[in-house]
Amino acid sequence: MNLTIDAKSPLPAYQQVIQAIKLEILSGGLRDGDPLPSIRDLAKLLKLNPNTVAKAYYALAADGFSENRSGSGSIVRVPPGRRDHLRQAMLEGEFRNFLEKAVSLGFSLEDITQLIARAKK
Amino acid sequence: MNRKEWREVGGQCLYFVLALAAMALLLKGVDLLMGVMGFVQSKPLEGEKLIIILGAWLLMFSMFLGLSPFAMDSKQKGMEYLLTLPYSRRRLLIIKFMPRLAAIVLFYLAFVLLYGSMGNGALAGGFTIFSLAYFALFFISFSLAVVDENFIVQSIWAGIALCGYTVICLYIVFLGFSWKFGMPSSWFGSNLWQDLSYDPPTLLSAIAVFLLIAAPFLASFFLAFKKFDLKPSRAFNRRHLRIFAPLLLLALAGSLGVTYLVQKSSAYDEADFHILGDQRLLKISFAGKLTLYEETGRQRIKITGLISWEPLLLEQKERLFLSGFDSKDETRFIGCLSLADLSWRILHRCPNRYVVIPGYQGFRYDGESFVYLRRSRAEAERPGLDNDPVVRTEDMELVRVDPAGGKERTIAFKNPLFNRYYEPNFIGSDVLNGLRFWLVAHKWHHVLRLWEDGRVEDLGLSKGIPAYAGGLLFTRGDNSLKVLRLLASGSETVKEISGDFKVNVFFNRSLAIGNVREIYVERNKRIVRIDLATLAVDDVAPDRGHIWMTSSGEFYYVEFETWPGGANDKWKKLYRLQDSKRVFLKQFDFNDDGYGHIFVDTCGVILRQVKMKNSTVSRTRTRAFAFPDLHELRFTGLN
Amino acid sequence: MSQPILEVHDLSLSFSRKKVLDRLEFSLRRGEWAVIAGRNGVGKSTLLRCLAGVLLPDAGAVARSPEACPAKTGFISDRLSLFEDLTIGQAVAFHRRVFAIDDFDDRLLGRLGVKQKERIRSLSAGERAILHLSLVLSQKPSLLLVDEVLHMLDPYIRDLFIEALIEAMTAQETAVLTVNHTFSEIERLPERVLVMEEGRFVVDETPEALRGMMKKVVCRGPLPNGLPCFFSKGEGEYKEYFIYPFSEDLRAAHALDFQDIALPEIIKAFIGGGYEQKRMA
Repeated sequence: MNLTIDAKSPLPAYQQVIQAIKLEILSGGLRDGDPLPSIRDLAKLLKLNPNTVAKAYYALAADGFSENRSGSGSIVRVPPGRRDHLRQAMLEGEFRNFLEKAVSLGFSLEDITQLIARAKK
Repeated sequence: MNRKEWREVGGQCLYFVLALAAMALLLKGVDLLMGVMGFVQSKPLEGEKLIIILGAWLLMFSMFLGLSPFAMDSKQKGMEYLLTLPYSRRRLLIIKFMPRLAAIVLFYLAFVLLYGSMGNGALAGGFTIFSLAYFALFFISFSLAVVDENFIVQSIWAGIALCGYTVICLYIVFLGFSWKFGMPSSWFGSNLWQDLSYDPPTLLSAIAVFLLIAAPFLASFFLAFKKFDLKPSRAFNRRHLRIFAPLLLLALAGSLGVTYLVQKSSAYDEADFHILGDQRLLKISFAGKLTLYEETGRQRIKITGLISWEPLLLEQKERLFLSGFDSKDETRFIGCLSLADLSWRILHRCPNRYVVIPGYQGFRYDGESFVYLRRSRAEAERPGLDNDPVVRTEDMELVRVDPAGGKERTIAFKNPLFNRYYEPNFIGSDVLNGLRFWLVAHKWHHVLRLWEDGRVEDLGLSKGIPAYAGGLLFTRGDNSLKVLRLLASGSETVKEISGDFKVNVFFNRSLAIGNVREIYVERNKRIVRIDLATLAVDDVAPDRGHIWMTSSGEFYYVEFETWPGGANDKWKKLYRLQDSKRVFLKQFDFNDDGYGHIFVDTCGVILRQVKMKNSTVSRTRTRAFAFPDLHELRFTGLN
Repeated sequence: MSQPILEVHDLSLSFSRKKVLDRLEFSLRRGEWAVIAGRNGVGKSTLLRCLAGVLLPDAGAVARSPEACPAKTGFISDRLSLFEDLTIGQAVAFHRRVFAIDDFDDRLLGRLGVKQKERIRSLSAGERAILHLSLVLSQKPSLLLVDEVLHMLDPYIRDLFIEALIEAMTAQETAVLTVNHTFSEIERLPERVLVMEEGRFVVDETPEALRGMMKKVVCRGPLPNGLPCFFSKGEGEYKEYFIYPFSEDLRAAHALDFQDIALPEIIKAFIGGGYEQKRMA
């Protein structure tokens, strides 16, 4: 599992955790039924406040991507149909970032379309 | 944490014991130490030296243990850690206190056992003081355990505190003495420690004072410690002081109160009483006070000076001659009190550069003038024991003082016997062939005759104190009484009477007892009469009391209920001894006023009763009875 | 997590006639991690000592919930105070006896490879810190007060230290209050940042909030009017200006590049600002 927290990112730490776990689910690294690392372990690994990790896990559970097993931590849940929806949402997020960046560099929409066409080749 | 503290204290104790052993070995040459400590007067025994060294060591140990409760923690840089342990400040202090107190007590008990096993009671008073100092030092040092971060500074503060503490306690004890004896506290000298241990009230009140004054140190420390932290000690010290000051004032008040109550209630008024010719009563208190009692009231006679009075020297018509010692300039004097207007003047004062021999009651009256012996102070005060070789010169001076004007005449004498320590006493005076002589009893009862013209005659030895009456010298031999007639030069033995004699009536201040025809003495435990003309010996009665001779030459006999007198005695009887007969005069019942002492003189009889309670004087009662019928004289304010 | 475990009212403390804590107000909740920052000598360690009971305040009160009793409070001072003559084994035994601890977790110590017989006096600062931490954690504390010790530790021990703290937080919901200068490895750990100045807290925010409230502008020449510049740095042509308090409308009003800055720099700016205020006072 590839999990690092970018301190410079404007995204709060717990959101980065959520993103990272969702990425893992999408890429297949975490499958339905797999246990999530304990809050303790993840906090230690990432040098995060356990509350932060707890918050992330709570959000994941609220979103339906994990289930809390009392006593034995949380396990991953991939609700049917949610995977694609997730993929879509994540891509859209990345795309929006890309667009913002391109615009700030001075590219127009046409330039961007040309770039995409060139990449396809 | 207790284990840690016990271990620490144990280590410190061990350290001290080892150091003591090392020092004991090193101090084989203890004479050096003795010189430093100044034990000059007598050479203490080996055991005493050891006790003194151990005592000093224990005092240091006590101080060290008291100052060090936080020293180890501080040294180990663990003070902060210590304060985070789950103990309240009070509990922490108790944990620190208990093991150290236990160590102090254990060492003390060991010392007491050692002291007891040596069977040495000589330091009795000093031991009490040591014990008090030992514990006080621990308490006071402990209360200064955090007064500074620096151990040297701590020790200095402990030293100062202890000095202040000792001064305060001693001052209160001295004050107690002055209340007890009615004397100013400047009287009391270095014999305080011996006196302390022999007077239960003084000892108890002294212990109370020492403990009461030490208590505020420890109590205020425990109270202030609640706010102890790692701030610089100045803040804590200020708080400590703020709690300490009122507690100390309280303790001072308490100590003064206790001392006053105890000492005043066991007050001992050492006094002599004299019934004067006009049937007034003169009370001469040792502690410098003169009081004249009449039926209607009493009057204090104010005389300046720090005077300790001696019993009445001489009563003449309307005039009393009194002698005493003035501590202010350390001189002895004779003064004259006018009974008419109670005016006082000093008749004669022995200069400070001389010492009156033998000191107390050194002034006598020989019928013509006051007389006393003296030698230079430098000579008299040179230290030395009887057995030392020649220490002083052979010089002695005799001074005669005229009662009328105070004019003095001095005669210088020289005799080898005068170069020893022992001091001569007058036993009589007379005139022979126009020349006056004085008889003195000297060392081992050498009887010397000092002539007006400066000659000294050795009249021989007496096995007991000799007596002079009616021109005859009574000296004692082995189981006999030797009667000698004094000649112009030397003496001749007139009679030797066998028997175990006790001749002890001739101690009046006046050496002139007038023309007596008979004397009464004790022989083989019986009263016998010796006729001075015929030297016939008549048996009178068994002697179960005291024989008295007044200054006018009359003999009385005071009989005790039990001989030699017990605390449960209820009476004493007074008899007149005359012409071989004893005539019963009066029985003095003690009732419940305590054991009575009888004093017989020319004008009457004094009965002084002392009631004891728990071996302290609880009250005294004085009664006076006038001759010839011994009716009781009433005085206001006497008891 | 919501009950306060520690409440400080009106806390004042003077040290050698200098007022170090001045009517300080503060509260800490269960499981919260707050960090205290401030310039040297401002009183952070003093506050911690006061909370630990080593120093006693002149005025004010420290109210602790029953679970934060002295036995359940752990304090690691920057002096790492312990009884230096003891060996590690003796120190552990002592601590266990005093705090009535049944089991002692010596895994941390084991990772350092120190022997039980070694005297504390001969340990390095890092080893002492870990020992201290082991002792304190064995109390299963509900309140942990840690003064600035991390800078003394080598990176590996630092990691161990931080992991141990995190472990305590997850196991016991320990509230942690630390004093820090360096934030490099722990900037994501505190939920609250407190900046101390003039004897009390002048800032008490979450790191996220702080990141929103302070932005940096680097430019040549003076800053245009209307920008609340809290602190500026730099002697040369280009100066760093720290804008605080920042609001989004400032971004619209001024055509400047307001940079996001990370927590360590924010703290540094506050401290710098504090020094500047002290100079001007």
